[in-house]
Amino acid sequence: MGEVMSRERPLQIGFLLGNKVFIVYLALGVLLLVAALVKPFSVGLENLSSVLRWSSFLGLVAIGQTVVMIAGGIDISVGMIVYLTYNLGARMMGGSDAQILPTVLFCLFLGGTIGLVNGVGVALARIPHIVMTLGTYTAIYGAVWVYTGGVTGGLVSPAFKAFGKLLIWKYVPVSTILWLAVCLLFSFVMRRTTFGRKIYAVGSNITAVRFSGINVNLPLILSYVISGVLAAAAGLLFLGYLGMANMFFVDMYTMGSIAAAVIGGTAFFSGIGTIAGTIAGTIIMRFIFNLLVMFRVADAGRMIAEGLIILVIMAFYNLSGRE
Amino acid sequence: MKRLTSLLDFSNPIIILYLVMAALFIVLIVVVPTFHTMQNFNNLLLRNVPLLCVCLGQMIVLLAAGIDLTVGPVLALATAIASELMGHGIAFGIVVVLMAGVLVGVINGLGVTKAKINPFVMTMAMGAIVSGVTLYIRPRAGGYIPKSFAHTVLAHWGQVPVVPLVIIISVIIAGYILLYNTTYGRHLYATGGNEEAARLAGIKTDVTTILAYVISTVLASVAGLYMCARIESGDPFIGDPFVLDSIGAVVIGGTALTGGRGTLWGTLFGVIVFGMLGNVFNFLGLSINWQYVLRGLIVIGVVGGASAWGKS
Repeated sequence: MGEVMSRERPLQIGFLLGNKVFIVYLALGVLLLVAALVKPFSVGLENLSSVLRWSSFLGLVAIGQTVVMIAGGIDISVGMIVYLTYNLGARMMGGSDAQILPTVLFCLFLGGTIGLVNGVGVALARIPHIVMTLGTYTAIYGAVWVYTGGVTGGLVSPAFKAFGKLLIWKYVPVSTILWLAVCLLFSFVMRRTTFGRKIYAVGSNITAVRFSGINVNLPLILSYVISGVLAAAAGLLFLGYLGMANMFFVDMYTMGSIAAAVIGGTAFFSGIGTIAGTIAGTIIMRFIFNLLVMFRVADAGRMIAEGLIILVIMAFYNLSGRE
Repeated sequence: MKRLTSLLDFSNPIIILYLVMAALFIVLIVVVPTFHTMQNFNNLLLRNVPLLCVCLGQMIVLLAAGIDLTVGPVLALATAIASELMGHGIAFGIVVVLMAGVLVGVINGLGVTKAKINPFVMTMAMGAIVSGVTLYIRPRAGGYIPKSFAHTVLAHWGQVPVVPLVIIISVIIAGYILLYNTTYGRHLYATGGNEEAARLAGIKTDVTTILAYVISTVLASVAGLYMCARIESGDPFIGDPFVLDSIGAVVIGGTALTGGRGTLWGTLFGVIVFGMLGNVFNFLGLSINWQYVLRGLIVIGVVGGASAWGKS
C-alpha cells in the first residue's frame, strides 16, 4: 500500500496545486496592478523593499505554519514564540557581539523545543491541535512576563543590528534573501523528499497512512519542530531589524501566518498546500498592510481590513469551486 | 437515569474532573481558612457568570463541529456598545448589544455553511473585524454605564447575589432544555456527529449550524452586558482571555472538537474547575503572569491526561 501511495499521491496533489498556485500569483499580480493605478508610490522600489522586508518575518513563520497545516495540524503558538525570542534575544545578547552566536543557537533551540512539546502533545498525547497550541501560546506569554517582570530590557549587539538592517543592492534586505532561501529549501523538502511526501500523506489521511505501516507520529512532530524553529528565527530577525526589544507586542504572526497559508491555497486538515502559494499569500498580506498604512488607516481599520480580506479571498476560493 | 450512571463510569474522562475538583476542595478547605466563607463563595459566583455564558455558547458551536473564536471580541464589543449607548437609555443599549451579537453570529454561520469557510479561519477573521470595530467605538477603557443598571445586575438579597444566581440558574436550565428536550438539540448532536447523514435524514444542517453560532455570540453579548455592569465601563481588551478559557473549560469538560460529543454537565464542571483556578491561584499568592503559565499547562495536562485515560 505504501508503494501505491508514493506513486500516485504526489501526482494527484501536483495537479490540484498547480491550479491554486497560479491563481494566488494572479491575485498578487492584480493587486499590484490595481495598487499601481490607485497609488503609484506603492509599487515603487522603496515600498516594495519594505514589503519584502516585513514579508520575510511573517514569511518564515508562515512556512512553518504551512508545513504544520499540510501535516493536518495548526500552530497557534507561533506568535508567542516570535514574542519570546524577540525579547529573550535582546536580553541574552546584552549588547555584546560575542554573544550573538550563543543567543541565536539557544533561541532556535528553544523554538524547536516548544515545537517538540507541541508535536508530542498532539501526536502522542492526542491533544487536539487547537487546544495544545493555544495552551502553549498562553503558557509562553505568561512565561515571558514572568522572566522579564514586564519590563522591556536587554541590548541588541551592534553587529546583529547592522545585519538586521543590511540591504544588498540598495533595496534587497538580507532577511528577505534568508527567507527565500528557506522557502527554496522547504519547497524542495516538501516536493522531492520522502519526508515531505509523508507530511502530505499524514495530513491527507492519517488513518490510512497509519495502517500502511508508516510512522505517522514522526512527520507530525517534526512539522511542529520546524514551525517552532522558524518562528524563533523570525523573532530574532525582527529584533535585528528593529534594534530593540519591546514587551508590548501586538501579535500579528499567529493570524498573519494562518492567513498567508490559506490565501496561498493551504487547506485545513487535508494534506493540501504548497510553499510557493504561501510566499504569494505572505506578500499579499504584507502589501495590503503597507497600503493601509499609506492610506493612514488606523489600527482598528487595519484589523477590519485584514479580516475582510481573508474572508473575501476564502469565500472566493470556495464559491468558485476550487476547494 | 442513564446519564447519571454514565457519570459513574470510570472509563469516562469526566471522572478525572471529579477527582481533581474533590482534591482541590479538600486541600483548600483544610489549608485556607477564608476559602469556605460565604464571601468567597459569592466572589466565585460573581466572577464566573460571564465564563459560564461564553462556555455554554462555545460548547454548542463545538457540538456542531465548529469553533468560535469571536466570543472574546464579541464580549468586548458588547461592553463597548453598552458603555456608549446606555446613557441614552438602558433598554436601547441592551437591544443594540444583542442585535450586534445576532449579526456577528449570523455572519459566522453563513460564512461556515454557505461560503464553506473553515470555522477556525472564519471566526478568526471575524474576530479581527469585531475587535477593529470595538477599537473604533472605544479605543481605551472608559465610557458610561448607568449606576441603576449596574446595581440591578449585581443586586444582593442579604448576602446572596440574587440576580447573578438567577442568571446562572436560568442559563443552565435553558441549556438543559435546549440540548436535551428540544428537536434543535437532537439536530445539533446529529449535525455535529455526521453532517452528511443528518442532511440525508432530513435535518436542515445549515440552519442548525447557523443557529449554533448565533446562540454563541448572543451568549457572549449577555456575558458582555454582565461584565460592563461589574466594571461600570467599556473595555476593548476585556474579552481576550475568554477564547482560551472557554475552549479550555469546554474541552476539559469532555466536549470533542470534532463535533457531536459533549454534555452540559461536563461543561459545567469545566467552568467550575476553570473558575476556581483563578481563585485558587489568588489564595496561593501567584502573580497574574504565573497564572497564565499554569492555565496553559493545566489545559494541556488535563486534556492530555483525559485522552490517555480514555485510551487505556
